[in-house]
Amino acid sequence: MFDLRHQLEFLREHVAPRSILPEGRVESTPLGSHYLIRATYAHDYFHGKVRLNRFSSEDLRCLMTLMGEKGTVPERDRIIFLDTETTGIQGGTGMCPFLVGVGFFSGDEFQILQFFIRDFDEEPSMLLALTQLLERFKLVITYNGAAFDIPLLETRFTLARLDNAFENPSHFDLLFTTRRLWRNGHGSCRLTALEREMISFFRGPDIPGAMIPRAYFDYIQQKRSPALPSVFTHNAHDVVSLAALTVHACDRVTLEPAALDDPLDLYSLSRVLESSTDWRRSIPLYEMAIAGGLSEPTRRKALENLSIVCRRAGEHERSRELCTELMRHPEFSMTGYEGAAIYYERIARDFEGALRILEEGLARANSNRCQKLLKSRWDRLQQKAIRYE
Amino acid sequence: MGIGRGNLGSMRLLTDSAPLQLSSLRDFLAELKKNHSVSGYHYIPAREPRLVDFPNSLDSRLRHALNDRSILKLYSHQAEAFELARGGKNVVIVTPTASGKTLCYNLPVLQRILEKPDARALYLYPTKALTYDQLDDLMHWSNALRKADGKDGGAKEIAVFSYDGDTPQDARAAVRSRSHVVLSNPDMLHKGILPHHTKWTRLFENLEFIVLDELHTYRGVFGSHVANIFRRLARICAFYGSRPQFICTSATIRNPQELAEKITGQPFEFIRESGAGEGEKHVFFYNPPVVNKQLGIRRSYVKEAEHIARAFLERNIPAIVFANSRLITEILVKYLKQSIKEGPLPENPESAKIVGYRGGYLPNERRRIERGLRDGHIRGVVSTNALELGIDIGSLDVSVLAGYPGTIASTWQRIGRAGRRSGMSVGVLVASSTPLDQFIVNHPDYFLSQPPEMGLINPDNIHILISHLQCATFELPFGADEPFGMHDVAEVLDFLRERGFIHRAGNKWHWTSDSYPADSVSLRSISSDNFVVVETTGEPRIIGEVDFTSAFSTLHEKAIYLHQGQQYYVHQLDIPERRAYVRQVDSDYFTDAITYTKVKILETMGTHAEHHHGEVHVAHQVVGFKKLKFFTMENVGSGDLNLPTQEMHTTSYWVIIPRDAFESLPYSPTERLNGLYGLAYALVHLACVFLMCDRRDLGSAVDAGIESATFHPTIFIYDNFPGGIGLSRPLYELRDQVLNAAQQLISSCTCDDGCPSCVGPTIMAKEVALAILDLLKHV
Repeated sequence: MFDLRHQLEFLREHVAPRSILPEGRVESTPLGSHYLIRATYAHDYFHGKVRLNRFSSEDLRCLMTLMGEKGTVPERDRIIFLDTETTGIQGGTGMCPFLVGVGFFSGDEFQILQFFIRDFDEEPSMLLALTQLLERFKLVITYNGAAFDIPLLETRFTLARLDNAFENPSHFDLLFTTRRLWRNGHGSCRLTALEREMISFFRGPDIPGAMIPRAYFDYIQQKRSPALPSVFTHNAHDVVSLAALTVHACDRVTLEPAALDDPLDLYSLSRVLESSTDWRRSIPLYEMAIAGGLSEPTRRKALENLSIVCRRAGEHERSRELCTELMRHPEFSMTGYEGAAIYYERIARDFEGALRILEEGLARANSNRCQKLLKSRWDRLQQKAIRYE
Repeated sequence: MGIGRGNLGSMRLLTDSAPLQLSSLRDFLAELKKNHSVSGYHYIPAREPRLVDFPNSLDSRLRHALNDRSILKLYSHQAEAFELARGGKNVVIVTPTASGKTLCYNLPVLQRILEKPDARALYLYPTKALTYDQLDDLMHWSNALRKADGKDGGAKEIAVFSYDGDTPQDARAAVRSRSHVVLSNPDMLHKGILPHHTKWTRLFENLEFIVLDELHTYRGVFGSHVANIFRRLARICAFYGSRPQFICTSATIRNPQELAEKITGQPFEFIRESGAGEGEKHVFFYNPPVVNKQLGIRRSYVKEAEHIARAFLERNIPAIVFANSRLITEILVKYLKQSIKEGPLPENPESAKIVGYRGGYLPNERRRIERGLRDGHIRGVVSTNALELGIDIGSLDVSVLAGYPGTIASTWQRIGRAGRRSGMSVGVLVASSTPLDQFIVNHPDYFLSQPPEMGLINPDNIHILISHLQCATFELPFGADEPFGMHDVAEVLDFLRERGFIHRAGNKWHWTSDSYPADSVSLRSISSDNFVVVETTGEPRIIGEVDFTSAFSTLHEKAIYLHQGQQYYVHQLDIPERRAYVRQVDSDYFTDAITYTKVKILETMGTHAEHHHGEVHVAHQVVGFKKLKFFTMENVGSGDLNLPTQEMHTTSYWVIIPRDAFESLPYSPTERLNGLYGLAYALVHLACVFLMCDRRDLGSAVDAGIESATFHPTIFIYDNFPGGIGLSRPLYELRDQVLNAAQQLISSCTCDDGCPSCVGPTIMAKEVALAILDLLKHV
């Protein structure tokens, strides 16, 4: 027989907290228990304009190679996306991940697991479960994880006296890639800004990051927290957007760019390609970006880079044209003068012409360093001209 | 023989100079002894070093490296420290400057690393300058040992790094994992290392030695903080399963062992006998002559110190001058540079090169000056206390102290910077006109007979403890039954829980705030909050600094601020920005702030006759000011001020003067009050002498008992830090000495009525103060 007091106690302990938390279940491990929430996204799910299921290992391999990322890319179901919500962003051992969201492909479906601790003493159990899950995966993808999520979780493993679950899988931090691909065109590379601008995903009302710790503290201290449910949504969105943005970044480098693409994005991509083994592909992209219309000073940078890549590819006449344009540019362009001088010296073998260009450059050079470089080139050429006469 | 701080055989002693110089120095000293302003002279004969053979267990590679440094024997204290440390003891070594203290810890630490390459050591220094000095020395050791390895085979390189705010971000990971010896400071340990201990697992798992150099600097508020940092460190070491041993070194203080034990919470062995030799030493006490007897004004001690330093420098005798503030340092450099240029030049003008040295100079410049001093290229240096600690500056022959440094220990440290292990050296203390300086310079015997001060800390000051308990919980969840200091931690934790900082889950307390608690705790908080004085007569320039507590009384609006004899009118006090704007003026009056300090006794903890100590509430407010005419002290006006009240709960010593006896003194009520305030003024200054504390660590207040007919006039001398830092109780115990000293100070002062050197410039105060002291003897 239950008396009223017992019944109320039961309600207080079980019913009230459960009503706050999204539907899930208590998982038990040798280190205690924690709370686990599952969600599944079907094979035809579109996140903004990206169909998640298009994600492929081959495309990711292309992307990572291009970005000079180390680490092998395993098959798709061995890749995991990860994002944590914490009790602060101040750094140090007093910062606890209370919600770890992960996403991965299981067949054609995308699955999300959210590991949640209902109080601090559930953390060891949660970490153990996470460790066991991570054993199945060979690549972890995060957004700013290199600086935040991974070292944070490593610290937590140490504190819980568990082995470091990130020792084996490789890690790919998408933030560095999005910065290189899109920063020129889109000031902010925050995940929420990019998901809106790049893949047209609108998440609706969202909890500001700064309020997340408070939402959790309210939950554990007062057992009520109106803001907590939105933290789960926020975290799930972060994980899915991370996957969708990865697909979009792969598209960026695997699909043929079109002339109608944003010229700044084309320029950014050209810069990435330029320093990869696939550097020749940057030439048409630079041309496309310049034709599409770039504003200064990016336009001048594009002309300069293109003149160098053209010379490297043996397209000397195009390179000379670009250098001539740069020399006429109101801002002094070292690359333009140097490039033109190189062309006249080596291709046209017109030393007088090369010397004249250098002299003009010397008159315009705006720094000691440029003066010095042009002068030494001029000196060397002068000697060479005398020898040849 | 042993070595100093990496100072190898550079014993450029006075005897190395031309004989002419030595005799000229002796002549000069003889002359100085006759000078009327010299109030005391003390001769310390030379002492032979006590040398012993290398300990049997000393590693052969260390023997080789020592031999390479021309060290064939150790000083007795070095060998003793080695044996004790090898025996697993915590050791505190107290020996004078330049007695080879660093070997005391380097030998056992390096030997341990040679035996066990995983072993780690953490060296802590109070200043960055010291860290770099020691880093150089350890690098030499590391190199020497690598070479020695070649012969004997064996260990790998010993990695030595400093870790502080200047360590580049990209180098930090390497320091954390590779460094055998990490050199840092308590502030970095507090903010950078402990809250990130998981990045330092290699260090904490293998930490075998912690070296705490210049232990005596960890006193007062700073020391109380450091003691709590060690409580946190101990928890973290326990988590990683290490139990480091401590080696501390200290300048001479009265209670080094007690201080070491209080700071680290560990038992210590104490090595007090230095085996290092010392050269003969001549110490002079110099009191600038009185130029205005009525007001007790003396000739500027800065000028006098400059004259004395110049006299040595002109004889081509290298000298160090210590000043008590950055500003005085700069002034002295300027004076000396000027006068040496104008005066009779020595043969080689370069040899009279004078430089300043203080915090605020760039590290490179400091290194350059240190080198210049070692190789003798720089002959004269004016320094703040920055050079008081053991930075290697070679051997200078003369140390001139412009003003009493505030403590006996500090005075000996500074005098010790002149003259290393043999030869002859000179120390001159030039007194300023504060009561403290005047007492010391007029009682050299007291100074010489007195054991140096106590290093006092109060790690259980609740304000300090709470801050560190928060940091500790942030670093590692805090066990429900875990101890932390002397308090009932459970209660303190509950206090923190109420404020939402921590939360209990299971049997552990967790940090529940998105803040980083170490950021809001400054270890050296008391002196860091200064007001700067900006002169706006012409181009704005900063002419001085005033500490927070005295800013309201000396820099309030309309105050006349005296600086280097010049008068300035304060036209604006910007409290949030901590700035006072002043204009040069030529007025015939000065201002005296009217402060209102109300002390309420909360709890009496000890009583003996009219003397008490206990807890008090202090409310301090500057409410107005008087304009007083120079010379006549005539009151020519006044003004009201509306400045914020400063309130705190702290500990205090107080003495009660029975009302009847007080009122029967044959003076007018005003005169009696002046005497009471004057006595408080003298007592608080002298209390600093006995407690080895900064003047700002103590506050004083007088309750004349006017408000209530039953209350007796009372003088309070309290800890000027919320919660107290443990000064009041020792003061209560030392009261007889302090009162006797006050009587001596006041009766021997040459002024008529009272001057800044005794009871402050107040009419009749001197006589009445002595009468009150007399009265206290008979109750």
